[in-house]
Amino acid sequence: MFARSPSELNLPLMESRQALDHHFASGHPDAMRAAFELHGSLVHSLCRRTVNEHLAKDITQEVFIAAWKNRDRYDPTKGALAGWLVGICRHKLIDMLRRESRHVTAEPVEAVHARSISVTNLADRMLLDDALATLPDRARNMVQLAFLHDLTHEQIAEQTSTPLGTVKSDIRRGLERLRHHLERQDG
Amino acid sequence: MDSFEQHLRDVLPQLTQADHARVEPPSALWSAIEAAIDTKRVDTIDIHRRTRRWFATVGVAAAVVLGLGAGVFATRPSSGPIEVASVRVSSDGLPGAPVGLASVARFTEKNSARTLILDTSDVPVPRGEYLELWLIDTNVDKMVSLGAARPDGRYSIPAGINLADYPVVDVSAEPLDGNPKHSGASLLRGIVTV
Repeated sequence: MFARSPSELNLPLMESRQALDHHFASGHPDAMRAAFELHGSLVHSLCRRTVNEHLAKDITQEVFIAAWKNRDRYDPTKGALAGWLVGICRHKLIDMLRRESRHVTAEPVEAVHARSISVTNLADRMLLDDALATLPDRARNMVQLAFLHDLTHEQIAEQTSTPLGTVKSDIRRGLERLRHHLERQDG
Repeated sequence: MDSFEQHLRDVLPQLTQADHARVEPPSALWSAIEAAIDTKRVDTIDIHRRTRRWFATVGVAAAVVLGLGAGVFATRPSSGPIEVASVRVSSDGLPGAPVGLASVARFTEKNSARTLILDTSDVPVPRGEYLELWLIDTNVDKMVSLGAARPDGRYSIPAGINLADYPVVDVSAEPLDGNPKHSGASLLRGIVTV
């Protein structure tokens, strides 16, 4: 059965997460609780940065209920549960902004469109941050040196006094994990 | 450079400390979610939907089924059991199942007693769960449990079950929740065809 707190889940993080993703997809009764424990703060934080406290609570709730009810459409071999939840959350936030503009604020279409894009960008950033946190420190460092600071593999090996082969395999594995975590499954 | 690496190059420089900050959801939120969904109820629609999708994936919806059991092989005066059919079972096309699992299920018959032989010792059992074997019809309306996985890999098929009506061999992971229905989490499956 699943650990009841995120800290317990953190130990063999990747293994736990992958197992959780599979159990979620197959409807394991404990998987929903574990998913909420692990990803509730990501989803809720994304909502809180977009809408007020009251709406954030409602949308977070809707996201988890929708994810559970539509788990048939989630394929854990294609992407992580975090990406699936953030994808649902993004849709719900954008829907909400559109509804609000129609009925309350009467914003011009362009303004709503711009806000939708900024929700998408925010979702991308928070999901990437979440994905980076799952990498071991060394791999995270190397990915950042390569993709943020544009260093070559050779330069990273030299700077970090790490064998070139290790740099390459760290980056390759790091990218695989990030890719899996960020995979969009919009249902 | 592929589009994912480009995405990484685009988004990484934009990350701020605020993107790292997390606001925990209100503590009452879980109760509200739990009340709205019933995680304890195993949705039998799940297995139906999933299995139909599996049929579509593996492309055997219109498969012709062997005329198994029901007297076809029962009259042979052999002393040992006769193998009447075999089928490859695998995790192909089963969402959530580990990739690359495969085995062979064999049906034998001796003096009208039919046995399914399937070694599941290589199938990883999720923690806190057990494996269960099933025979399922092609419409996924009816299924027969052959019981929990056994170390000897031998399962008696109840008399009166016409195998042609239940050609799908299925191994599922079942939580220890006392619910006798199929969990929907299949790990191996195959269909007896000509």
